[in-house]
Amino acid sequence: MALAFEVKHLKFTYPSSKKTTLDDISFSVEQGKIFGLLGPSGAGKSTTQKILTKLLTGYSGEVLYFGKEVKTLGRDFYERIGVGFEAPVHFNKLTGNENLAYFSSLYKTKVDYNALMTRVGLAEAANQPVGEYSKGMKVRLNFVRALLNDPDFIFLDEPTNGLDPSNAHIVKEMIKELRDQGKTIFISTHLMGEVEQLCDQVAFIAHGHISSMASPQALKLKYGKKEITIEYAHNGKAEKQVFDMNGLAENQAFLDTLKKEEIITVHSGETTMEDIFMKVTGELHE
Amino acid sequence: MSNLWKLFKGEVFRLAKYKVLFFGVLVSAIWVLVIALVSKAEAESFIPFLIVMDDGLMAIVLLGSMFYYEKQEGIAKSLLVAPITVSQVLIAKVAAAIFSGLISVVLIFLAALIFHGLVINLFLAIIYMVLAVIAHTAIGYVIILASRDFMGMLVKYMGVILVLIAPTILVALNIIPTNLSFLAILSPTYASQLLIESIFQTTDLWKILVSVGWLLTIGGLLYPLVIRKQYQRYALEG
Repeated sequence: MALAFEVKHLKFTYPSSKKTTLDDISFSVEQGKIFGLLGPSGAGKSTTQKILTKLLTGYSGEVLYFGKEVKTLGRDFYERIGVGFEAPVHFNKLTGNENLAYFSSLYKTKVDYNALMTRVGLAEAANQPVGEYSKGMKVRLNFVRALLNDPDFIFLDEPTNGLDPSNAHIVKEMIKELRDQGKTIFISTHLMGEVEQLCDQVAFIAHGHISSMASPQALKLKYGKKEITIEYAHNGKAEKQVFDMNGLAENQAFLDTLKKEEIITVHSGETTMEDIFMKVTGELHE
Repeated sequence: MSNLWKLFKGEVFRLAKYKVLFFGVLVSAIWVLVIALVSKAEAESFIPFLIVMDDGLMAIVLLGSMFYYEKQEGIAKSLLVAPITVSQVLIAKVAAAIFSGLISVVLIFLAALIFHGLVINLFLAIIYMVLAVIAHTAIGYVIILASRDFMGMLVKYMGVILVLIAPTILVALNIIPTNLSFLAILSPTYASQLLIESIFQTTDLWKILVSVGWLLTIGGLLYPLVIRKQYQRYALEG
């Protein structure tokens, strides 16, 4: 699979700051995959996205989009990408449809935004001023705004932050469908549930440094414990025992527990993305 | 249809939607009433100042209010990731300010014609008004981009207005000697007023040419060298 973005030894310092915001970071985003850039607030996620979307220049290192340095790309680059900001980016006095009609008119390729509005549950509010929208509605409108030009590469900043579970589910399903259509999606987030359900690859960023990339599953295996914890009732009391996953089929104590005790719960030693986030960003800090 | 035209249409649509055009026409209606009530000679001396106030100095406030609205709404940032240039965004905004000024110039000149029979070269008046808007909006942007918020902008604006209007007052009160009055052209407000006045009265050609050149220089230098870069920085902060 081709690399949509390839970032090599990227360094960036804001002109007004003495501190390096991004310190020699490297990563790549495969075409047709969902890539998650994770990190705490102020870690450098937004700066990375601004550099990738050509909003910030003055960096050292290489940022290649399908092999071409982003700095050298013309305004046509924006015909091929879609950007969904976390904060609302719409004219409050205009309706949802008026906003979308305006932004859509600026692109050569256009999609049927009415269909997208229906899909995200905003069809009925389409002719309502955006100023009257709730936070969740504005987040969904931002998402539609990012898809107006049928982009090949989509940047999404916290795409489900502030959404109720039902609407978050719709947005996540749409993101997966976009990936299945061959589009590449770059998500910046701190919501670990989102990462686990969506991302094919993730990279952690903290204090301007980035960790090695991996799939959420691989990270869980790397940082998890290969053990099983069994909770069972023994003489009317709840007891717990931990077994090594290696050679479990031959582990007599484990088999006896299953046979003789009243099992209450069984847990694998798989760690959560939250734990991995804390651990990795902590390591990067050290 | 070019993106510049689409941006311009969008700007005018929002001016209408935000009721800025409506209030602009309302203010022009007041000027029309004033012109109807004054004598022909008073109208001739009053109209140039009126146009410069309405389309030059007020355009700065209009620009500022729209800018902070859009900054608050994150619009500027959103436009930076569309296939358009910052120059196109700025040109569309200035063109919309010119459009708004055009309505007021036409209404004022129609009033001058109807109530006093003043036949005015509208074509020349529009060109001078365009120059006034370009120079004043350029100064306006410098004030806006140097301010943190709308209130901060208003404070700076009041100071700049004093500096811009002072030459007009000093010349009118003969505080600046006649042989040195040409120095007042350094104020773009005075230069704009001189150009509009030249439609009504005989004015030295060199003064007209210097005023045109000066207004073009202000816009021609500030927009590409200062405002374009600063606008992008400011939009990203929003």
